[in-house]
Amino acid sequence: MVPHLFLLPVEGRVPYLAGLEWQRTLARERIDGTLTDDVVLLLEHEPVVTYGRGSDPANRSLSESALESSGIELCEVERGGDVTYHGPGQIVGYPILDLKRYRRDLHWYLRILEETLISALGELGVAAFRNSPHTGVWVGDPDGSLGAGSQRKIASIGVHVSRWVTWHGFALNVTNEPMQTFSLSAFSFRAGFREST
Amino acid sequence: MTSLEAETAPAPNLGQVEQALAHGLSRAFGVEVTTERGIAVGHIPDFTLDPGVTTA
Repeated sequence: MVPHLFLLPVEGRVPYLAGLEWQRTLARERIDGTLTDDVVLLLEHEPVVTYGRGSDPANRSLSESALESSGIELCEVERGGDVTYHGPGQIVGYPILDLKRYRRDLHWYLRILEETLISALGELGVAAFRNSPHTGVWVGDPDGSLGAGSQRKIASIGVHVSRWVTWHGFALNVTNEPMQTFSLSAFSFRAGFREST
Repeated sequence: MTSLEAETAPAPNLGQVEQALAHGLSRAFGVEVTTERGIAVGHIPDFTLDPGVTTA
């Protein structure tokens, strides 16, 4: 029998923390079996910069004050990875999946998320590719032989797994707005964070 | 960094992107995907009893 998955486009822009708490609730329900199906939330966030644990508190403090004045929230999350911007013009996908239905392998899961995005972008007429060893999806020159700037990141991936149930996920830039907003606020965390949208 | 808008002309709308992601999920995970619209944050109806549009 072919497994089933529900794709749930969410109406309106979602504040980051509300979306995060929703993911955590759904993941708990998926772990205890209350939620019997795998789901993928698709949504847009209000402007926010997120960062993983382990970043420098001094840089966080700098960022908070600068971003506040730009109307951009700053949130710590339980995933690894770089500082990431989410906001209008970017579709975020949060798969709440029980990997025991597929494969108990986090690396496999990351590659399958990349494959999902590459396949979707291909359908939209954009040739995209992996950029090993980095996680995410790029467009442009696949082998990088055309020099700096010839490979452009179009989608980011950051996941969390507990008891083989996933949350967090991917972010795909649809319009140019996320990049413009990110650039305007980038000065505030260049001191120590690597940039990612 | 780049975006769909920067890479395609004309840029797809959100509905087209959602549809493409549904197909991508289906192909990559080998699953049947059903899209259920009208979801408000924090609330998921009992969609398992009334699936919406199966896209793949």
